[in-house]
Amino acid sequence: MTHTMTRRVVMAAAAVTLAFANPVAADGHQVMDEINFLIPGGAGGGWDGTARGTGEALTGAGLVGTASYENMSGGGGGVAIAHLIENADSLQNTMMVNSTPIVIRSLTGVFPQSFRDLTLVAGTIGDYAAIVVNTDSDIQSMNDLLAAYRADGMSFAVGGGSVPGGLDHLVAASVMQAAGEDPTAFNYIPYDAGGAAMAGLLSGEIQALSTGFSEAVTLAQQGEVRILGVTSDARVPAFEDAPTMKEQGLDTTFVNWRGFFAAPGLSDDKLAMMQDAVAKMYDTPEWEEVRARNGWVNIYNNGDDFRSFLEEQEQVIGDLMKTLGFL
Amino acid sequence: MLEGIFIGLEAAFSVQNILMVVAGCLIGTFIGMLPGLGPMSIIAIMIPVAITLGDPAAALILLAGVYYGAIFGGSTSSILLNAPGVAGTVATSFDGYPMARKGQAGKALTIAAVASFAGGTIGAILLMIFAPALSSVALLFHSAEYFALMVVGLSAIAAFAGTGQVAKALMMTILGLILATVGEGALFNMPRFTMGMLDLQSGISFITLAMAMFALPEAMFLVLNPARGASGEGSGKITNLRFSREEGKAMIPVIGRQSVQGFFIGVLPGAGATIASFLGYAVERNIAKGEEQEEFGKGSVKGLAAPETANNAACTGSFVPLLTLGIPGSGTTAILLGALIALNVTPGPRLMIDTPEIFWAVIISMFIGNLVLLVLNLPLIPYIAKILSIPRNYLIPFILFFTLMGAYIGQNNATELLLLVGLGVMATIFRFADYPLAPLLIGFILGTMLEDNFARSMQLYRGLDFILERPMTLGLLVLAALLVLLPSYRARRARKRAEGVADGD
Amino acid sequence: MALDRWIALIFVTFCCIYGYAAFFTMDQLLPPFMQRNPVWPSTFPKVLAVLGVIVGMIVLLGVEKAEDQDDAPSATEINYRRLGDYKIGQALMLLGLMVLYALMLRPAGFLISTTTFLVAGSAILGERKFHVMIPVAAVATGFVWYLVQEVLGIFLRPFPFFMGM
Repeated sequence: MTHTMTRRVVMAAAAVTLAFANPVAADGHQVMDEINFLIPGGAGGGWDGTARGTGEALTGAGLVGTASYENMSGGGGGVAIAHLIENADSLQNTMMVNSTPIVIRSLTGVFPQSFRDLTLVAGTIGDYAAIVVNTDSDIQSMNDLLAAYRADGMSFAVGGGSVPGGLDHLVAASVMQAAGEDPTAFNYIPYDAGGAAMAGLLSGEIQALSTGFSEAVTLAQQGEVRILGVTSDARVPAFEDAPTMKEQGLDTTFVNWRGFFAAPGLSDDKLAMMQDAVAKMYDTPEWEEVRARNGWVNIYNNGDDFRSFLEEQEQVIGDLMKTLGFL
Repeated sequence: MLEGIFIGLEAAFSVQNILMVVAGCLIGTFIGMLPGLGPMSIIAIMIPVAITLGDPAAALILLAGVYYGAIFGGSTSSILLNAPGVAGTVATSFDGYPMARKGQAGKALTIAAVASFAGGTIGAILLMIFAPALSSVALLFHSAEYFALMVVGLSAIAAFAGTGQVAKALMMTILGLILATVGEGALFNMPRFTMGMLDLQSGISFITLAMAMFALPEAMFLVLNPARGASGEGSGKITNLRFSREEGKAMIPVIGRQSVQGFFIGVLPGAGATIASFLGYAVERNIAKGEEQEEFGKGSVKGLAAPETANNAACTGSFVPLLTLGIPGSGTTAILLGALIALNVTPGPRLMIDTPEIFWAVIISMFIGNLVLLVLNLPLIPYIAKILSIPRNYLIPFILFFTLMGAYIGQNNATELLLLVGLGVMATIFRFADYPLAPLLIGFILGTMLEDNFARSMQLYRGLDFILERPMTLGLLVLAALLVLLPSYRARRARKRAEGVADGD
Repeated sequence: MALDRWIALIFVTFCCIYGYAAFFTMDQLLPPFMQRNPVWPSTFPKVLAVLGVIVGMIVLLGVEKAEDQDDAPSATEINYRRLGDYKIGQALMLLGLMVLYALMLRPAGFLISTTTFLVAGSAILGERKFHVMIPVAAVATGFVWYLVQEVLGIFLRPFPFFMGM
């Protein structure tokens, strides 16, 4: 999760949220007495930060009385999911944080459950993906990149901070697919963290890098890398210079989300309370402070929207992984 | 530069900031002593506190105090209990623990504190002078060189291959490398060799293995053989802080070399403090003269000073890619990067131009952090060392408890503890049969990086060509071979000569 | 056969199983495009398995000439030939206690299981001054819990599961 920790403040998003800010009086609006956050990884990781930040904003804004956090690592998140399902009756106030890997890992069978076995609360934050090159590079656009790849073949190396079949690889492969290339043919070089991959790009070992957008923005603003394409629908206000994949004729979008899940069979009342708390949180200054500090982008997806979003993502990722031969 | 120093001093020196650094050092030292809570998690925990301070200089100073405190605290548990809580202090326990067992715990802690201070301070001086120029050094290494560097790091195992023990040390190294292949790696999206166990999915955690290999067998030996207690041998001297003039003299060149070497290894984003400490240990052992070389692994002053200097200098060096390129080389610097960004400071090539006061505040905070740590901890050492003179009936349950807690805190996964006990029993049996365990841990720590970097290089060059095409890779591999072969050649020749003399008699 | 050779034998067996897994069970899972890569996920394990068997055999067969280690074993060094002199019962009981502690931690909560562990541990070692040990253990447990949970904010389930939280 290292590369999710190095996220950058995406300032313009702050301005957008502030503009819609509808001051919710902190007092007297408490929605829930307590929430227990279940974190499927250890203290200090990306999931941990998301849960603690959300809890901080919820309690700070007075939407929730008290928040507690429980780390339960193991099995790439599988241990915590199993715990939430097995002890559903006694975990009525528990929200588990998770992110895109829950979709990938249940597809590859790392754990037998999927998001369908849980109650969906909401997707809360996210990040787009981006393809970047060194500023010194001759490559100016995605078309240049594809041309360079067609000319050089296997000696054109594209790196990423994930395993083959992980997020960064899937993004690069879907871009290749959208360009009409064979998504299995390009030379993908995996690194174990986003930082190491970025060092690989800057040292000239790889020619292009697939990475998280907010991470790329940090280095782009310092003039170290050039963002060739971002996987959003429209240009991101935080960094208008970065063109989207779509406007370059590559029909591919991708959001790496993070969100919350609850125990299966949760009563509608409880679920409504949780969703209400999260929805109201976006308008509070406390959330804005946490969000800005961590450089998160608000991507709000409630209940059924969240479900259809996940189903679509599962479909897209599943198809891609089949093409790549992972499934 | 002078101007910069003044800017930094101005930013750093205030009553509030001095209190910050003192508080940071104390918090870091105490929490760092708990195995399982390394600098990374402590800094992660302290970041919200630091951010509420609002002032980037004050926040950085607090975090620097915590950082250095945590590193020193980690060395403490390595030395006293043979329980290295983070990978960077594994090499510290190689000679630190034997010293403590000889009843010289106080001296060992003092050496660690002094070496850390020197490494950190010299590192900060190097950072101050060379940081802008070093950003290109940080990018000098490709995967091929990192692979070669890991091979050099593996040569540290030679220190544990005593006469007639070479095959055993190799066997343990291979076992360590094998254990490193368990779980999810960077090569493939399916975990390897988990035998269907969900808890092995993310691999065996470092802390579990370190506690099982080092801390648990030692605790078991204390139980098995009551005469082994440290107080039994050292009769009351354990709180003695002093090291002799000769020992001090022996340490100076080690500290000088290792602070520079460690710093440069730290500058490389793919290496870091752990590699620096192993390389520091390996190099110092191999250039040490006959008798001193024999001492390594048995409580050598040099063997303790080398990794302690190197890992602190490397921690300082890791700020080079962080500040000048905005690239985090380690988990800890990744978290620090997050903190800087939250404080509206964007590290990168423009940092020195746009906000020079931040750069200088970081440098000054390092000097202050190191100094305060030394001043605060030297008087505390006698009390820390006294832990070992707690009666056995009380001490041993607590050692066992801390050993287990290291793997449990923050994870809440009890299966990890069962794994720890199982591996610990295995390690105890290995120790009975005279198998050295340090090579196992070295192999485990370096294994993943060795494999990943090798695979990347092979994939980039479509074969082994990188060894010949990249002179630095070849150079490092040759160096590794020399480090392993030269001492054993020298030893063999010395033995031959000695035997010759004996035969002649 | 000495203990170290028995271990080498087990190690060689282990390497064979590991090698079998690496050579025969891993590669068919690999997607076709990754099979073009020079290094496969199974490459490193294969090399290790072979090296492991070779090195293990060297130890097993005693190819390497071991130095005579007949310096009189010091009272504090550990030697399995003197196993009979050691407090092996205590050690085994402590190991059992650690396993029990691991199993108890979740259901019984941190406070109860840790206090019990510390008191039982010292009792196994022969401590009989329970009026000292029990308060010491309780205070230490409370202190660690307070530090970890309240000060550092890292979750550590304090009470048994059925008591909530």
